[in-house]
Amino acid sequence: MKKFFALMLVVLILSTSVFAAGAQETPSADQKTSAETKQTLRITGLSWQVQKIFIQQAAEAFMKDHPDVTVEISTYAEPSVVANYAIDWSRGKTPVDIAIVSGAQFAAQFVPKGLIYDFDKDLNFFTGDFSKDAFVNAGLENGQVAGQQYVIPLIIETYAVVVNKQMFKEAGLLDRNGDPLTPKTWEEFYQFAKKLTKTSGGQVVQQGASIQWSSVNMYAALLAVLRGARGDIYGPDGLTLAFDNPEFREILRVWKKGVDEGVFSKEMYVDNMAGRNSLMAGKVAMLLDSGGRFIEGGQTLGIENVTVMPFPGADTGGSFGFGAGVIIPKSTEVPELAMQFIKEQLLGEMVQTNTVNQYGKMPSMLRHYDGADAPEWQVLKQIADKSGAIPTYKDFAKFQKEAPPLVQNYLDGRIDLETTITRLQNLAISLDKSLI
Amino acid sequence: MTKLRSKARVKARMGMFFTLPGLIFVIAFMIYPLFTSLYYSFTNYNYVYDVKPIFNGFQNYIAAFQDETFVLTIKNTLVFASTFFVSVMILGLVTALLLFYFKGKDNLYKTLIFMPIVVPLSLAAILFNWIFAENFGLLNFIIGDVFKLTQFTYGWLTNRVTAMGAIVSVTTWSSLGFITILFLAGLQGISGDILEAAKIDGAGTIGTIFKIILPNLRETYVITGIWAILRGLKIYAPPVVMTGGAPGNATRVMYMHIYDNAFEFFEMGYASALGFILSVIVLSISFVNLKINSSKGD
Repeated sequence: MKKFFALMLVVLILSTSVFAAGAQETPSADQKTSAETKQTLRITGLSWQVQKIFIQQAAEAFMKDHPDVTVEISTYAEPSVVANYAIDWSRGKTPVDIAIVSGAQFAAQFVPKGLIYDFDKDLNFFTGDFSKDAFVNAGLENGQVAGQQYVIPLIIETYAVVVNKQMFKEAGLLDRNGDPLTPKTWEEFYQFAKKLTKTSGGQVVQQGASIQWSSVNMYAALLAVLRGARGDIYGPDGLTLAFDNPEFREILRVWKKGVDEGVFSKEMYVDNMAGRNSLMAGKVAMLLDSGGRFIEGGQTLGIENVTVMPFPGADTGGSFGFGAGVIIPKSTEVPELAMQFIKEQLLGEMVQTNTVNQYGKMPSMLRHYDGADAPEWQVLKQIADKSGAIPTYKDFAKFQKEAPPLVQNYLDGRIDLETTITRLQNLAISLDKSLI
Repeated sequence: MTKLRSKARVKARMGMFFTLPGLIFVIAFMIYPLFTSLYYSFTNYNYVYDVKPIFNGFQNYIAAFQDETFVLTIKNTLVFASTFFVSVMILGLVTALLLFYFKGKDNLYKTLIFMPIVVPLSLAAILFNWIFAENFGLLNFIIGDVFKLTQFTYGWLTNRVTAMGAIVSVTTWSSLGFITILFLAGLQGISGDILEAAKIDGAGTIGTIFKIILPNLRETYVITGIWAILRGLKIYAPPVVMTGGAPGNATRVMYMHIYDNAFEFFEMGYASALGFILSVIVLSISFVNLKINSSKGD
């Protein structure tokens, strides 16, 4: 019994010590005043977003301009972490004041419960130099849920064809000015890819074309080519994705022909970065992916040896626009400060021009295109202007997951074209289209 | 006697006191989520868009077996698990026997064999992704550019069969060390007298292995078998990282489907049901393993 009480006493002393150590020291009057006037702004994003949108540099510049503000940056491993913030936000708390997200399709989940600000109605964001006219339309559209602006776009990307100029030259596919010829139809695209494909010992050693066919991003390629072919991705009701048409059938048919003949690579089935890596390795002539990849290709091939062109139809019908933007939760205590940081830094010249010149992420504001070095950015801006964002369906994630295996199975010859079209269209019809 | 009983009671109380933190942890992070998940599995509940779960009986469980993709993932998971189980158990046992018989630099070999286990499986998957890549991968580079056998270069991850094979090989490579150590511990637990007696009776190495050693490893089979079954059925990182379930869902496994339904589609009710179906499969196969390897008269 004595031992038991002695043990309880030790535990009590230890517990008290732990609580005492954890207790906050009462600040002095001076310290209190300093703490009260110093504001903290917390921003989070994926690691690549923090790096490629120059968040650290933006934070340092903002703190230099505003010594009374501390900017704290955190990264999240993957988007479901942000989705879980909804639990805190619904209780009026938040671990962050600004979150970088992919766009409206992701932000839409927070809208039904009123957890994030509408930048237009709630915050009156679009004033002065930041009017809506100052933004690239595709970027704004990528941030709208049911027509309301819940995401401010920071960077935009659009699907196009990145080209290895040297391979085009060797294949004799240059115009009179020495620029790569642009295929006008998908059949022409296939013919170009056939000429650009080299084999050795029965194996392909230089791929004609690589198309974004990965499980992660194929939905983007499908929407891009659909819009390019028809100028719109929706059917007559303006809501349902429309795959059951001759134009899309032709695209799939040409894709399958390319795969069967080894002219189009299947490498991106399993790795959404494989095309980019093959481009950088000098193994592929044409890459249908985010147009900004040409900056990455230029890092190994030389910027003078890569360029960008629209895929068939993109110059008239448009493409698929996406990117990254910011949301502000309603439970933040510093919404005005958050807006100030966004306007001064994230939409400022330093971030917007560096992100395009170094990483190929296009500015969301039109005026910063003057600071973009390469002429290819003007080509991409023209495509982006005609591009549309992904639908903000409640169920769009199901399309993103279920469409790629269907198309992959068709390209591998496991199902025929009509079955593929029927299943894709049925999938599109079955989606819950609320929130659009 | 009274004093003894009193001491025993004090000891019992102290034991409970010391187990209390662990018990609280288990209840909070294992028991409570388990029962909450079980409840959700009988509801229709999208945790983003629905205010609260709505009870729907066994509808989620019925829908699971009408879901073609889920049924496919069960098949893929079983194919992976059985292939992985056979390869890791056989390779692990052979490696352990080699270490057991060929002593000398065995500490060095043990270290080399065990090292892959310290590499996180997701990181190993990223590394092997680069090895198996079609156009710029190390394997095709060695085959095509070093040995000049371009006709044997291949899209290892874009073919349905070799993609699954690649995932099995990565997981086996990662797991081999641990299974080998378990088998080695089992081998070292066999009495030296039995082996000595076998040697005196004229038994050769092969005979000793098949007639003495393998039968005496029965308890080890239980542990290694359950470990391999769990690792096989709960596979997630390699298919997600290496193939994303492609080509055409050929490598999509149950865990991926559960994760997507829970955290991409936010359908927590349906995902919970899928999770319990996986649990039943895991428990059933583990039970079979236990039964097969239980000694008669135990």
